[in-house]
Amino acid sequence: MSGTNGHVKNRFCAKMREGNLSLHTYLSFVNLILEQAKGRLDRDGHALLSRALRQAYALKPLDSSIIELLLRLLPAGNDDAYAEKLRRERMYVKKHVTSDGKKKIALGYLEKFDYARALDCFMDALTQNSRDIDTLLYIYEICIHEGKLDELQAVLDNAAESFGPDNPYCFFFLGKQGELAFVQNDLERAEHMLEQSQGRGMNTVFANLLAETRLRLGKKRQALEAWEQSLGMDGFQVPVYLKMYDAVSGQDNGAVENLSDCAINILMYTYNKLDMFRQTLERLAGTELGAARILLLENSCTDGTRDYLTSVQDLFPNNTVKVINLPTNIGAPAARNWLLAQPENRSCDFIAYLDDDVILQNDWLKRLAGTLKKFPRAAVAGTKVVNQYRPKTIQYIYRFFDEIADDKLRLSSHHANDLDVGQFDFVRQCLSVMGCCHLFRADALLEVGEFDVRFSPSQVDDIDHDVLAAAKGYEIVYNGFIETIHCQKSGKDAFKNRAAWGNVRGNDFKFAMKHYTRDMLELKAITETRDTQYVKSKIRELRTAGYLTTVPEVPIGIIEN
Amino acid sequence: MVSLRTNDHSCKTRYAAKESPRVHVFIYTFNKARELRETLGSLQKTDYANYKVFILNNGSTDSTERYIYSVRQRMFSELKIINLPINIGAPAARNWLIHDPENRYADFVVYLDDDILLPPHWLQEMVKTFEEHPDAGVVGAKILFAGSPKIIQHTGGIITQAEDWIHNISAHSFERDCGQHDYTARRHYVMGCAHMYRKEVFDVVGDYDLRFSPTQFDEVEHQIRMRLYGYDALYNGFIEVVHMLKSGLQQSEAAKVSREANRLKMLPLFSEQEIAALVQENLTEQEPTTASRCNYGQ
Repeated sequence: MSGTNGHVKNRFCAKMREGNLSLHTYLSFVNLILEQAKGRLDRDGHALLSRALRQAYALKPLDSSIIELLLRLLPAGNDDAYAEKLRRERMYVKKHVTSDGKKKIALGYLEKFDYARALDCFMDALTQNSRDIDTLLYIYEICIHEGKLDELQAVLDNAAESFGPDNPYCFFFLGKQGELAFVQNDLERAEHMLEQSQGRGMNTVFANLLAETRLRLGKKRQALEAWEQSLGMDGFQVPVYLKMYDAVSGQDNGAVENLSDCAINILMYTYNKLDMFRQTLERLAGTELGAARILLLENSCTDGTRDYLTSVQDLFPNNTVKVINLPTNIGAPAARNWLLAQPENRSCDFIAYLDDDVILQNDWLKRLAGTLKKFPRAAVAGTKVVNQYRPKTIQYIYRFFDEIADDKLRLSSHHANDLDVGQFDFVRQCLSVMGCCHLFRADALLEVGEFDVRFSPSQVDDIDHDVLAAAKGYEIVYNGFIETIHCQKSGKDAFKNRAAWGNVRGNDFKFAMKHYTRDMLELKAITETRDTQYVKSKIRELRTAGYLTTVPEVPIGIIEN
Repeated sequence: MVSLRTNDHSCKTRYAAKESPRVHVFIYTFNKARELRETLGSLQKTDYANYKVFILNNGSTDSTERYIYSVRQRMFSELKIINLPINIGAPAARNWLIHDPENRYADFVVYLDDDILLPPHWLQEMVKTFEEHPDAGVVGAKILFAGSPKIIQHTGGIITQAEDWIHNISAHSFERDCGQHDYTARRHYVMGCAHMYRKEVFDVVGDYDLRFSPTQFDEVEHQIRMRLYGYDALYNGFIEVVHMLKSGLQQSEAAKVSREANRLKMLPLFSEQEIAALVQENLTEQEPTTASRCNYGQ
């Protein structure tokens, strides 16, 4: 007997619910399912496989093995338009996509992360074979990664002739042009290109982008239409429902707290990052802070931070600033606790922690406070975190538990370095939000207590604290409408050297062993059930209000044909 | 001697003996009021004059705070109390103490755990060991478990092989103590519950690494790092220190996890060549002199 492992099924469903899947994860699920099936797919396996493949195909419709598998999954003798489209694409890819000559050299450079040389070689390859859509996509991705948007625009303009209306990948080419225009904030052009793209072939990724573009152009009704179309093609896109809901309910520009109605303390600690910290504080001073108190802990810096802070009060004429100088660096969790132990925190409503290397939007504080007001059982609210480089890429969104075993306690990954095209701009409960900018309800924070110094000098302490709060029954809320630019590339940087990597491993082990597996499994179930209910209730509301008339009902959280 | 690392700003020197050098004795403590009382009781009997005691209360929630302020005037001629609002963990506490500006007047600094019993001559012995071994950066003691018969907890560690070195350290733990390790010898590190450093070591080698918070291996890592700058670590078996810590078998699950996790954190801090160089020193155990009739423990 062969069959699809229940564990794989559950993980896939959880990731679908989270809306937390990249091309890479789809493909690894495809491989896993095929491996387990050993040539004989059961009903669940078939459903799972076709779902993963369709979504992978939407993200990359030019992968010959994805197209091949999709065709094989179709019932025999199927010759509808969809099958016909796939066959045309298969033929095109076979004929025009190559991997020899210059392209092979380019791929070699890419493996070594030598983007400049890889780009040169891909350009040569495109000159030799102007219809190779795969080469073009590589060039597109490298240029986006390297921020070479003008160069990319020129490449696409040149390629327009090869990807005209008779080319099966015309829709993809137009869609990517739309995406580039969106990234360059040329929204009119983006809308135009994406509409053209949809006319040549429907694709959920581009439909979602079209909706986002229209939303930003103030065309909410048309945006909702595009999302509905997208869901008509694939009704399992949970983030799209959430985006629709927030657009309909006005959450995207609502839920702010009047800062004069509450007492807020902003806590920050720093260690030897003077230039960055100065920039962070200067930007912070330009945001709406009301009368919030600011407590700064200086971790015995040797770079002049201490001197700089002697006049920091001048930056904040309307706020009281208290500076604490320590004789030695005590590490992040201890610094958080030291700040928390200050008597000022006994008499406030909300407490924010900020890293020393963030850039905030003007209304961050009243929006975070508004979020906590809207979720009265939440202990903490966090933001979407993006990298500082342009075009904007995701660094961190909401997280849930992923894998739990006796010596393993992993949270879901988070689309690090994907383009931020508003796909995670919505409000949602989760298990953990990022600690570089988060706001606590003061009484909840004091009840949950200290950050754990075992995770010194940093990492995991904020996640662990969220888990403790969730275990006490508090909610954790992510608000994707608030954007924090985190100037340090977290995660990736952590693996830069052996020593840092060892620290990450050690802290992951401490984290896994600190919490009882049984309790964590229970917490995972509670979090996921609550989230499923949240998602379902939002879909129901949208349906009742008539926004999903063309979208078939799908069982979120369950796989079926 | 291994000298694979150097510091451009601060060089290692050999110790030039001086009359009655100045010693700063550091104790950081967390929620162990009763053991701390015993520790200070034994410390008070020290037969050496030129030392000052620094007690750092790491945010204890028991009666520690009240107790240490009562100690203030009566037990030690020189005492400084540092009272922190929270527990910052062991490595940060050690760093806090070593960064005390008063240390510029110290020749030596000692870290003592808050749950040990010292013999009166311990300080004189340690100073003498430095005089006899001018390349020493640190001197440690023979650490025993509490109770009778005497069981060894630690005689200082020797790394016996480069591969999987963290699990191949000889320290004679759990042997019956019949004086078989009463000698002075070089080690890769000595146990951190009662050990004395030359003050300059911290200028050359740097601080304790916060990644080992809240505790475990912070002092091991620091000493191995110190060894790579050319300092020796001396074990002096004539100083018997009783460590009232629960034995390894009774230790909490949390402590075991912390140890295992901190091994993962320590491993990549040293290169293979560095560890190989330490192993090649071939530090030999001194031959036992009085151990012939002793039954070794497991």
